[in-house]
Amino acid sequence: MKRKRIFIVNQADDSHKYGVGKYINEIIDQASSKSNELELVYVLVGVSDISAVQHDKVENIAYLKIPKPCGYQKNIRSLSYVYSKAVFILLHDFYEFSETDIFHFNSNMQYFLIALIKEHTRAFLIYTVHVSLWKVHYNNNYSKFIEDFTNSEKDSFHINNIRAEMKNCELSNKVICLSESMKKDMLKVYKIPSEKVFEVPNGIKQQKFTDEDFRNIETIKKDVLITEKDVIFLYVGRLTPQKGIAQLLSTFKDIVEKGYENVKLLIVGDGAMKASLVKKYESIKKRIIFAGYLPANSVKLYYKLADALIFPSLNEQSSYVMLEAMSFKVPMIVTNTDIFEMLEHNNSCLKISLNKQKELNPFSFKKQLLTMLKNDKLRNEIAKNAYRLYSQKYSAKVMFDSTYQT
Amino acid sequence: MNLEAKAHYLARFLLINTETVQDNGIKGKIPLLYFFFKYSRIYSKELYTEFAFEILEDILITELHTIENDIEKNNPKIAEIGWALMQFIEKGYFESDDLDNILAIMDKSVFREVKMLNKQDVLINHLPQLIVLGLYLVLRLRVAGSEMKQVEAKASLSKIFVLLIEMDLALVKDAGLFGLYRSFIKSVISDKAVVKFSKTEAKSLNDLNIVNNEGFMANDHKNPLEEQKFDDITTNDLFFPNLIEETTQANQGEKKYFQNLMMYAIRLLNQGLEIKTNSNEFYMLTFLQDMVNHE
Repeated sequence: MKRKRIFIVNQADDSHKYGVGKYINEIIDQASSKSNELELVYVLVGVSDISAVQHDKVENIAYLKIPKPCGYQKNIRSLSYVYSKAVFILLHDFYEFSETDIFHFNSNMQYFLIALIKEHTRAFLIYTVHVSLWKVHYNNNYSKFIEDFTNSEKDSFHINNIRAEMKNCELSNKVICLSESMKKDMLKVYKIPSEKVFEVPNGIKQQKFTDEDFRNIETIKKDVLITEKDVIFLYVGRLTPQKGIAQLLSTFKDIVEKGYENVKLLIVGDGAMKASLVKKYESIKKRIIFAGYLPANSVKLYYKLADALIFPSLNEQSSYVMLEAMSFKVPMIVTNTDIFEMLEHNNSCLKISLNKQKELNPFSFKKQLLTMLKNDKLRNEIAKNAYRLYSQKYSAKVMFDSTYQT
Repeated sequence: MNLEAKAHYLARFLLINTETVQDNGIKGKIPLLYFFFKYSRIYSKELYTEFAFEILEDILITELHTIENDIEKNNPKIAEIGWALMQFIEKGYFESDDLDNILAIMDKSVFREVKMLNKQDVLINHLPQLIVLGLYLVLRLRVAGSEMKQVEAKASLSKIFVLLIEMDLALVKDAGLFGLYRSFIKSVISDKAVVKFSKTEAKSLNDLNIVNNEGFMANDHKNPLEEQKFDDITTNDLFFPNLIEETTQANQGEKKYFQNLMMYAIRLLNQGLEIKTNSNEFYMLTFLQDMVNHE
C-alpha cells in the first residue's frame, strides 16, 4: 500500500520564526516517528540567502527550499500568481502527484498556490487558520469588521486579506481552527460548511533538559545577575502592540517602584517595539532583561529559570507560548478573553480582566502580578493544574493525528 | 555540473526570477520565454511551455492595451513582440487562432513607426531598430492572413529595405550587426515583389547587382558568429557560478546580469557558443541571431 505523503507549505517570514514555525516543527517531529506510514515534504517558499532550489531528504522527511526572487530585499508577503506558478512547477519537477497526497497550507498569503494545487492535482487540501485576521486588523472590533466585510464595495488591504483567507478556506477540503472561537468565525462569518471545519488545538511535545542545559542555565543566571531570592517573571513572544507588552512593562515598573526588590522580568523575543521599550525603561534596566529572539532550544532554558510567565496577549490562537509554559510547569498570567478559554482563573492560570474597550485593565493587571509575586503556594498549584491539562489535551501526537485524519 | 544539470538549474532559477524581468521586449521577457519554450521541448516539460504561454498572454494584453489606448504613441516593443510571437508559432511552440487579429493590431503600430522614419534622421545606431522592424515585416508577409494590409506592409518593408541599403555600413563597428543585416537583406531580395516596389524609391536599387552579388554578401557582410571561434563558456566551470552569483547579487532592475544569464541559458540549450558581453545591443543581436538561425 502506498504511503501517505504530506506536503506542508510555509513561507520564510516572521511567522516562521514564531508560532507557525513551531507548529510545523511539531508536525515534522511527529511525522519523523511514523516513517512506515507516511512521508512528509516540508516546502519552504521565499527563502533568503539561497539562489538555487534546495532539496534534501532525511529518512521520511524531505525539505524543499525555494528562494525568493533576486533583488527582493524583504520577505515575500503575499505570493504573486507568477511566483506561485513557479513554485507549483518546481514541485512538479521533483514530485509526481497522486490522489493520496495531502497539501497542508499555513498562510493566508498563498491563495494562488492553493488554487493551482486544487486545479492541477487530486490532492486533499488542508488549511490551518493560525491567526484571527479580523481581530488583528480591526483591533477586536467585531461590528466595524462586519460592517466592512459585508460591504462588497469596500476595498482595503485588510479586508482583501481577510477575503483571501476566506477563499483559501473555500478551496480547501479541511479547515483546521486552533480554537473554538475561530471555528465559530469560520462557520458564522466565512460560512464554510461545518463538515469541513475542525477544531484542532496546537499540540506540543514535552522537552527534556540535559546536563548541558543545566550548565547553560547557570551561565544565564550569572549573566543577568539572578539570585536565589529573586522571583523571575518571563515574557515570550513578539514585541508588538497586540501582545500587551507595553502594558506589561508599565505595570512591572509600578511594582518595582513600589519597592519590591527581588523581582526581575526576562523578555524573550523581538519586534518593532523593542528599541523604544529599551529606551523607555532604561532606568530599571537591571530589572528588565531583553534577551532578544532565541531559538527554541535556548528559550526552554528561560522557562526553567522562570517563576511565572506573564502573557497579556489580546490575540492568539491556541498559543504555543501558553502550551510551553504549561508543559514546563510554569504558572501563567493571561488575559480574560476567549483566546485563553481552556484555562480557568485561579486554577490553571490567573487572568487579567479587560475594560469595556476590550483593553487590559491596569488595576487587574497589577493585582494579578502581585498575587503571583507573593503567593508561591498558588504558583505551584496553578502550574500543577495547567500541566495536567496539557498532558490530557495538548500533546503533539493528538494534534498530528487529528490534523491528518482524512 | 554537466550541460543538462546546468540547463535544469537555469530553468529553475529563471522560473523563480521571472517577475524580476520587467522589460516586455527582446531585452527582457521575450528571450526568457524563448528559453522556456526550448527547454520545455528538449526535456519534455510541458508546464514550462504553459508558464511561458501565460507570460506571453500577459505581455500581449499589456502591450496591445497601450496601442489601443494611444495609437499615436510610439511603442518600439511592438515589432519585437510581434516578431517573437510569429517566430514562436513558426517553431511550433504553440498554436493561435487569434494570431491574425493580434498582428493586425500590431501592424498599425509598426506601419506608423515606419512612416515616421525618414532618411535624414536615421542614424547608424538605429540599425537594430530597423532590423527588428524589417524582420517583423518579412515574417508578417509570410504569415499574412485576411486581416493584413498587403500593400501597406510591402511599402513599409521597402522603406526599411531602402534605408538599410543606403546606410553607410562602414560606420558599423559592431561585427554582429552584419550577420543580421545580411540575413535580413537576403530574405528581402528573395521577394521580387518587394524589390520591385523598392526600386521606385531608391536609386541604389537600380543596380541590383549590389545586393544580388553573392561575393559582395559573402565577403563584405560575413556573419562573424559563423566563422569566428569563441571559447565555449557553457563548459567553463568557473563562468557559470560567477554568472549566477552576479545575477543573484544584482539589485532589482539591473538588467544586464539577467540578460547575460538568459543569453547563456539559450546558448546552453543549443550546446553552442557563447559570447561574454555586457553590451545590451550585442546581447540583443546574438539573441536575434539565435532565433533566426536555430531550429
